[in-house]
Amino acid sequence: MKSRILDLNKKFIENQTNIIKNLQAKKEVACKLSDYNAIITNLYDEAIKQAETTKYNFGSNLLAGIDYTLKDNVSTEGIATTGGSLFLKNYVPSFSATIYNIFNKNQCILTSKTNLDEFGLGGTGTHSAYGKVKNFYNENCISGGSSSGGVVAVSSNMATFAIGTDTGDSIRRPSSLCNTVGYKPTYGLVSRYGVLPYAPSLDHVGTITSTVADAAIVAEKIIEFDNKDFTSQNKKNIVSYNKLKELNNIKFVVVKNLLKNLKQEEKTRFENLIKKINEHGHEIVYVDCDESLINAVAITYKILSYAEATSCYGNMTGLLFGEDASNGDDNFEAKLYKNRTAFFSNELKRRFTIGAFLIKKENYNELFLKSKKIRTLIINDLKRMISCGDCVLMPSTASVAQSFDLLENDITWKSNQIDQLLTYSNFAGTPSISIPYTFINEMPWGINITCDTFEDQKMLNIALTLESLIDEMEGNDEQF
Amino acid sequence: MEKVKLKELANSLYFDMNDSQLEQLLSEFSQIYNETELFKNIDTTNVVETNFSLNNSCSVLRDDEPISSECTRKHLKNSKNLKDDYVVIK
Repeated sequence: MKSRILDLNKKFIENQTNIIKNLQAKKEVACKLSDYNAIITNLYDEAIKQAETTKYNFGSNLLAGIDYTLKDNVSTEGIATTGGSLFLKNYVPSFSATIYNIFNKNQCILTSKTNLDEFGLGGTGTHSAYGKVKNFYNENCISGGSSSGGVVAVSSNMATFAIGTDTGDSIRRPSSLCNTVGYKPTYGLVSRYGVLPYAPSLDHVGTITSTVADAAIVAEKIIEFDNKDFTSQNKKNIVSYNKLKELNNIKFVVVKNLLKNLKQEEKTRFENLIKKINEHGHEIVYVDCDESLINAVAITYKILSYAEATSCYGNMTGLLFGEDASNGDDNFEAKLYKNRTAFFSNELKRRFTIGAFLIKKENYNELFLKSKKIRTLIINDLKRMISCGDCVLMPSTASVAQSFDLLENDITWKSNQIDQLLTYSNFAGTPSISIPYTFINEMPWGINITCDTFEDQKMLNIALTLESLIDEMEGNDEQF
Repeated sequence: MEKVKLKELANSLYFDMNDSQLEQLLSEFSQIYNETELFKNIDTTNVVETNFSLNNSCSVLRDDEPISSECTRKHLKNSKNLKDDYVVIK
């Protein structure tokens, strides 16, 4: 079973390398690729110092001494947490997110806080106050977002694994574009306490790793009930690395009427995968999704997420925390006005203004309430498709990463129905994972697996099965 | 949608947008109106709305715990203008 974490753990135990050497190697990559803008706060030196004075329990804990990064919307006591925004440029939280505490408890080593679209509101990695995040495989291309820094950190091996957040597709989409495994667990399994929100009814915390085994190892630790998060689910043994195994006779559900959205090369590659899956004795079941619903995903997501975000960021005043551009003569309202005008980006203002429009009293029934009902229909449609087999299998993204030029200048470019499918899992809270599949024009392209809620272990087992099948198909090396 | 209404919306959220930002947003609103047209063909009669992905949370309310003044001081460290542990507005 291929795993960077197991590989490092073994090397630590057998003294083939040590934690300091590992951290130094990662720091070297991070320094070399600093203009990729993956990192907002570099903590490698602090990490090395910490490692020099700590005794690690490698035998009992696979994560001991393993380096990782956190998306910079995760609160870390004493360490700046910017959210990718100028507003929080100098904000140092006075408390830590639950997930950071879990990693500290497990002797993991935080090496950086990674870049993101401002407060997670973006899907390209280009909407951060700290620079556009470049794709490790082609610096002229986007990395995808909003967990852009985390995927670049893992794909370039600046970090062994990363933690991201996913509100619409923000872990899985960039993972597909950057050759990483992006896993969004069932809603509420990983605590969001201390994570800056985007849209709480859709927000998930998840993992970015190089392999499925690594995703399982990390998930086993971070899936934990947390009474500080009111959406936390009290489920035990949902994911266990020891239960990770390849499966036989999997029934994959493919959404046939969406395949027309693939370009010829992508279509051929996907068909090749289907052929290989059949050769391995698994079954493919074709279903159609309700196209009227998938066409409504973008606007439904916009209404729900922008409205929630508008409300969440009402607390950004610049008075209790955050940047302050006001002067002593300004009253409370004038201060708010000056600070929010000066430190919110255009993209944030755009989304918040749309959000404010959508939740106006006169739009409540026709738009806001209706979108919540359409969300129910979308969830029902996804569950219907999943129930036709073990999981839904589709390309994670319609194509590989586009260039920055294309993104900025081609106004006709827009995401298509396949891209929208990832958001179904945020509406439904179902577990969903993107794993690397192939390279098209030297750029990575991933595939996505979605199971029903709380079927995370089954989904990881299916992902492991496919990972192994793809390695055989693509001739990938088992070792790192 | 008119530019002046957009400006009002932005101002209701306590920020301002310049003319070019407003122009850009104005053009986007026609797309939003088009997209909401898609809604009209979807029948939601008797459909119950979804507020959260999963509505079976085990932790609806949590007990509040007393917070020491030391902790309050820690929280206040991020404020730019303090006097005697109070945030100065004006």
